[in-house]
Amino acid sequence: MKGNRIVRYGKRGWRSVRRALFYVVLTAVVLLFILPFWIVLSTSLRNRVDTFNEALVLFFKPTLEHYARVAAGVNFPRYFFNSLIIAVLTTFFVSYLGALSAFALTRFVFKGYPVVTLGIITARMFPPIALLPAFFLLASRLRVVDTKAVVIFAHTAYGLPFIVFMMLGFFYAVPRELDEAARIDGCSWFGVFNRVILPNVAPGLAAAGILSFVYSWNEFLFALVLTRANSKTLPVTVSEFLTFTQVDWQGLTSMGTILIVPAVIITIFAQKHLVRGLTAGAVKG
Amino acid sequence: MEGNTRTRTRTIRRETHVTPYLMLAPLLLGLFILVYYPLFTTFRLSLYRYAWNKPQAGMKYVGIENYKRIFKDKQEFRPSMRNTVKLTLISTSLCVVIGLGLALFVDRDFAAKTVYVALLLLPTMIAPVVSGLTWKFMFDGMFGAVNYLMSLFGLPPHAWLSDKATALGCIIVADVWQYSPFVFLVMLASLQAIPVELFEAAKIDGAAGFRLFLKLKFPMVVPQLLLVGVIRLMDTFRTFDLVYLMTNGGPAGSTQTIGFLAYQRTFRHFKMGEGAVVAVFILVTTLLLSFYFIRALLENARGLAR
Repeated sequence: MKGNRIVRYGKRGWRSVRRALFYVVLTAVVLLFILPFWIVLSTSLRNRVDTFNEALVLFFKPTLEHYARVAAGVNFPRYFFNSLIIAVLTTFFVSYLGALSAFALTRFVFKGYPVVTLGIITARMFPPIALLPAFFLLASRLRVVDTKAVVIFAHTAYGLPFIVFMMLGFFYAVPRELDEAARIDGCSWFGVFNRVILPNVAPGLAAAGILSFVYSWNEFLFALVLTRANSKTLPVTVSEFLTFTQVDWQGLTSMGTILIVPAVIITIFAQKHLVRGLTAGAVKG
Repeated sequence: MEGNTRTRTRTIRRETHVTPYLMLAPLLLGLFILVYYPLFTTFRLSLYRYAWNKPQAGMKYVGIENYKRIFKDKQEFRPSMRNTVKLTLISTSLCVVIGLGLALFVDRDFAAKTVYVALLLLPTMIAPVVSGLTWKFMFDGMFGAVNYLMSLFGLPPHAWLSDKATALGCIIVADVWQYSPFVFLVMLASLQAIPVELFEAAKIDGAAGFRLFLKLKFPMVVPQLLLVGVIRLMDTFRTFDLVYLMTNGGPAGSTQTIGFLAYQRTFRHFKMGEGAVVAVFILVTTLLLSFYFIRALLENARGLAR
C-alpha cells in the first residue's frame, strides 16, 4: 500500500540510485546516533594502554578485566541487585495497578469521575524536584529513607498515571459483552478483571511492563535523594564514580555498559509492543 | 424466591457502586502520598525557614521572605534562569526539527526498517546517567573522542566541559542526542497513522515531495508535534541529571539550571525554604506550559470514551 507513495520516475536507473543514496544517508545517520555507544563499549573492553585517543579504532584485542574489576568491587553486586529488585517489583505493581485503574475508569460511571481523571492526568505534570523536599521530610519522619520499599513506592506512584492513560485504549478495545457474560456467570468484578479482562489486554500489559521496567531501572533523582549506603541503585552508584575528580573511565564505561544492556535488549526485542503501546494510548486516540 | 432475587440485585448494585473506588484506591492513595500531599507541603515550606540537618532549630514562619531572597538573587537565580531558558529553547527546537526530519525520512517501506528504527530509538531508552557519562567522556579534554576527531582535521584540543563558553553547549548536545529519538518515535507513529486515502487524493492533485509535506503531512501531524514539543519543553525546563552528572553546575555557574538550583538549595545547603521557593517556581511554570498538554489528554480521553 505504502509503496504507492513513492513517486514513479521514468528511468529505472534513477530510482535505484535514489534507493542506494537513501540507504547510505540513513546508515550514516544511524551510525552517528550509535557512535557514542560504540565508544563506551569499546573503551570498556580495552587494555589500559591503548585508551588514549584511540576510541574510534575498530580492531583490538578485547579484555573483560574492567568488568571483572567492577564486579569484584565491594558493593557493586549489591547495588546491582537493589536496582533489579526495585525495577522488577515496580514493574509488577505498575502493570497490575495500572490495568486495574484503567479497568475501573473504562467500566464504571461513578461520583467524582471528572475529579479523579483530572487528578490522575495532572499528577504527571508535577516535577519530582517539586515533590521531593516535602516527600523526603515525610519519608525521614517515617524512618523509611534508604529502604528499597520507599524507592519502589515512589517509582510506582510516579510511573502509574502515564501507564493508566496508555492502558485506556486497550481497555476500550475489549468488548463489554465479555464482562457482562462473566458477571452473569457469577463472577465478582475483581474476578472478571483477573480472569477475563487481563488475558485480553496482554499486549497492553507487555507495553506497560516494558516502559515501567525501563523507567525504574533508569530513574535517578528519586533514588539519589531517597537512598544511602543500603539501598542505593546502580544509576546512583555510577553517578558517584562519575563525580570523582580523578575519573576511572574504563571502570565507568563498564558500569555504563551493564546499565545499558537491559534497555538495549528490551528495545530490540520488544520494539513492536513499545510502538503499539505508545500509539494506542497516550499519544494517539 | 422473589425476595431472594431482589436481595441479590441489590447486592450486585451495591458492589458495582463500591468497586470502582476500591479499584482506584491504591493509585489514588499513592498519588496522594507522593504527589498531592507533598505539593501542599512544598508550598507551605516555601514560607518557612527550616534547615533539615538541624531539626532542633525548628521551623520559623518568615512569610514571603524566601521568595524575595530568591527572586532578587543575581548571583545564582537569574543566571540559572538565563541558562535554563537557553537550554530549553535550543534543545527543544533541535529535538523537534531533528525528530520530525528523521521521521519524514524513515516513513516509507524499506528492507530492515525495524532494525534501523530500533537502533535510532536506543539513546532514548537508556538511563540519563549513562547519557551523562557517555557525553562527559566524549567531551573529555584528554581522552575524549571529540578532541580525537578534531585532531584528525588538525584542530587543537579543547577542554569543552571546563570552558564557560562551551559547557552548556555540551549539555545541549547530550540532551538532543537522548531525546530527539523520542520525538522521532512519536512523529513516525503519527505519520503512519495518516489514512492512505488522503495520499491517493493528494496524488491525484499532483502533490509530491515538499508540496506533499506542506499540504498534507505537516497539517496532519501538527497536533502530535505540538504535544511532543510541549512535553520536551516541560522536561527540559526542569533538567537536573545531565547538569549534576556532567558539570555540577560549573564552570563558574555557566551550566547552573533552575532544576539543579532547587536540588542544591534543598539537599546540599539544607535550606528547605529557599529550595521550596525554586521548586514552586518550576511547578508554576510547568503547569502553565502543560495547560495545552492536559487539554489535549482530556480530549483524547473523551474521544476514547465515545
